[in-house]
Amino acid sequence: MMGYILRRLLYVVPLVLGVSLVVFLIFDSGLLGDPALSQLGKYTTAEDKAQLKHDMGLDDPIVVRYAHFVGRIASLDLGRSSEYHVQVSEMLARGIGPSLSITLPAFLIATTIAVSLSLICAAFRGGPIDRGVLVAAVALMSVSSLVYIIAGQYLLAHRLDLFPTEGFSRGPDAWRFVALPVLIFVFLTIGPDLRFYRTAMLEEIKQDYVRTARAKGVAPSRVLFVHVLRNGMIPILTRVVVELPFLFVGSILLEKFFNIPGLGGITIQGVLSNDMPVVRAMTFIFAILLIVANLLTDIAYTIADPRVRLS
Amino acid sequence: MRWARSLAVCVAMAATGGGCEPAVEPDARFVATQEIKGFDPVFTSDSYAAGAQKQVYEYLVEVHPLKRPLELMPLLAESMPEVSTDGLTYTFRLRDDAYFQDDPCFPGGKGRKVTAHDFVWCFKRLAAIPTSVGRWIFAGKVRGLDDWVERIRKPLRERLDTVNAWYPFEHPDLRPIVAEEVPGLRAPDDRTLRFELTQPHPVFTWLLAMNYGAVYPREAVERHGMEFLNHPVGCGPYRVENYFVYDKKVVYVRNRNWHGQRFPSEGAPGDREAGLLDDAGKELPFLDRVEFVVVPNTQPRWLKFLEGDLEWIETEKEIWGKAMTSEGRLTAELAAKGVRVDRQPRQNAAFTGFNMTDKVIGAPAGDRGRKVRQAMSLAFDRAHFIKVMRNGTWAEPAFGPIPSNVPGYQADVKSPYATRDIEKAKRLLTEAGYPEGRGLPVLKYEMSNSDAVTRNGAEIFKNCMADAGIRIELSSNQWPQFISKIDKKEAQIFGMSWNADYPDAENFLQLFYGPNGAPGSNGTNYSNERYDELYRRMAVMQPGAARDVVIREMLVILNEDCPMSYTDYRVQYCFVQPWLKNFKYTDLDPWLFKYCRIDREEKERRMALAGSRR
Repeated sequence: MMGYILRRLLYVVPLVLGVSLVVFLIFDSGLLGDPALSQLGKYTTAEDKAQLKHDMGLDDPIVVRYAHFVGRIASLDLGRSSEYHVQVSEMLARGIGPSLSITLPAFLIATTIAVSLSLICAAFRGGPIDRGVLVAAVALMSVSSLVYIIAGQYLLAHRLDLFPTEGFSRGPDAWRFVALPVLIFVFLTIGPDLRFYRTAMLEEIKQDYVRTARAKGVAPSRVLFVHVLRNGMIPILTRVVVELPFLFVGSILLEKFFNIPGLGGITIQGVLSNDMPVVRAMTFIFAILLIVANLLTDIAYTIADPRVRLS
Repeated sequence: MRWARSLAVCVAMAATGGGCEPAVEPDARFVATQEIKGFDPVFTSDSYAAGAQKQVYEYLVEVHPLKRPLELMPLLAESMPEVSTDGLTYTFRLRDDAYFQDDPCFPGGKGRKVTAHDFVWCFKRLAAIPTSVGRWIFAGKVRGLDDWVERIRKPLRERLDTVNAWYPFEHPDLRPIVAEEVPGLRAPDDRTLRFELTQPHPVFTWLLAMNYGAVYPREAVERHGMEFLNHPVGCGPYRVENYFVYDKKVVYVRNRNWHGQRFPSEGAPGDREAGLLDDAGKELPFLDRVEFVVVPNTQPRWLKFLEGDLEWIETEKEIWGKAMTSEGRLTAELAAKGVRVDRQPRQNAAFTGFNMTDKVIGAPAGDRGRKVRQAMSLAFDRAHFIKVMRNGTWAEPAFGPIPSNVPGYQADVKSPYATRDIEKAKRLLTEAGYPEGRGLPVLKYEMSNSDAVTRNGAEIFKNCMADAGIRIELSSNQWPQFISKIDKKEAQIFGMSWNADYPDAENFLQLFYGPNGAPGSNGTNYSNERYDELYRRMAVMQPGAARDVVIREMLVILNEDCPMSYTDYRVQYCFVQPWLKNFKYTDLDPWLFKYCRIDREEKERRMALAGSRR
């Protein structure tokens, strides 16, 4: 297994190179704006601009510029945000807490509820409970995320005063600020999760071993929670682990509307303001997280299903 | 369950990187709609960063919070500067009781006295760093400064940290050259600061009131280096207790070392009746702890204002509809809350720019191009635009580049192409060889943003042009992309506005000065020899009748050449909580917390009535 893990980790190199090339070409093309100009303000001259480009090496040949770009990634020196002039590493370190404080609890709650409900749906498939849950899931999916956010802010926060309207705190009262975004995140994700897990559980519950277990007189709850759940873990693990990297980059929409200083907001602001160091760092980190997540999925398969061997 | 609650709190704190202290409620909370990009005046030019900085740093002079037209008054200077009769020498005498805030950058952590030498060091730093956004305030104006900048640039570039894009002005090796005397920027003693200009510059003192004119201790930059923007050290009424860029909040507490100041006893007509002089002569500041929060989205900002969490907010299209009736009065809900409306004309002009280097509509197209520009200006319906985009209220139609409240505005010179006249527009198009727009290629209008409001405004322009037979294609951009297109002279037509840096016609007329062409402030790349000659003459003249004659001639040239279609001059409407006292929107300095007072009894009474949680 170690050989497999090492081989998979080596895939990081070409992948990061590929991703970095795409990002570099998009930003270097100038389509999103000129990074040199954004630093010079409104009263500037062509000479100032040319000199700055020269100083920063932005007029070097494209191969040299790309080599510098990759060099920064390789040295793990993320540099400074061209928009905010602070260290990107510090921005990210401060942004990861707020992002995870929303996405992690929301993810855990949504997954737990979705898996539990999917088991109940599978147990009562075709019945009113199954149909009712399915209709509710589709209804939850059909509503735009903006509606949840605006309605949540207006009704639950402003009218009913159950939560703060927006904002964030790094102190002990942080939970007050993240409670509503977490709730909305759960509502946003539970529908698709539930449908996916229900399908996976239904696939399992139709299997011969389930019928055999029932014929042998195994209790229905044991059939469901031991046999079906265990064997349904492969698709669950696949989905759960693939979603993990997205937890780290936060929820762009929720962070934006609830004014939470997380990584999602930092990333989107970096793209909109042509902040190359921030986008470069986020792209790199996200690529790494994706690879690690895929690797974890493979390892988790071997734990969930001993028949699976990594080679 | 207590352990469970404690555990939840610990988890929340660990996840959010928080400290152990519970949040302390501030005396007042003000709002910014964009991120605050730090406290280094050399690298920040937007009004929010400037507003954040002006609580911490101080300047030789500041804008009077009440008087209109805007006036300057001394701040760190004892009095307004002594200006020589030839207008070339400005001498400031500094007050003797100004100290920097306590900070570890000083020996023993005790803030030292502010001297004229601090100003010299800060202004040299502003001028020398190539990425300084404020270096223009001295460039070409101060005797010997440009030569000195030339000398320091080479060693500065040699020490450039390319990874961090940092020119280390504070580097010990540069001290000898930094210490070199610049003839036009001198401190003869600790309390005297003298500028010698290369030519008269009537608005020079106004430049020193901008955020670039801040004084801060050399020791702070030497200690914090690149992190100075997160660790401001000033001598103003407040010091920053807690800030990191993108944290959406700056927490200020009163600076106990501040020299003190009293609330002005004079204002504009009507201020006394409005209660704006009730605190005349009282010691500032009134607030001990203030938060400046960033809330970019309109809905939460509006809801927080309704909840009493924000002291005042600027109006915008979405808010106006919720706050005002169709008759232009406050809604019953807001009136019951005691909210008041503050209305102040802004020093802002919105326009549609035409790229004068363009082959179809610019100077290369000669007379045909000029007629197309004039036709577009005539086809634009300003009244409709103001009705839809400014709710018919918070703007007045523009007939020239200079807003009507800016000194130097010429009421009697109006563009003959700034009033909608479709027939005349069609006639001009025919004369240009494009009858009913036939033969005229589709023109491209660059939008400054991709949001709905910007698109709405662009659609109005497009539809107005269609009435005259001119076909427009809208192009969506993000702000950096938009600016980049203008700077590269690739934007054919673009919508934009200009906020005054200082209240003078010159600041608007320089937008058409040839040498300021892109990537400079002249985004239309307009170039006219006669205009440029008049501009150079006007820029050094003192305000008065002779200068007005020159300005009028410049406006006539502009109106005929039509490098812009003028849109409107904005009027600022602010919604103000009943407990916020002394607030009057000042265009160049909207956030001066030291003058604001909160009537706590009023606030508690109102909040109790509203049943709000605060």
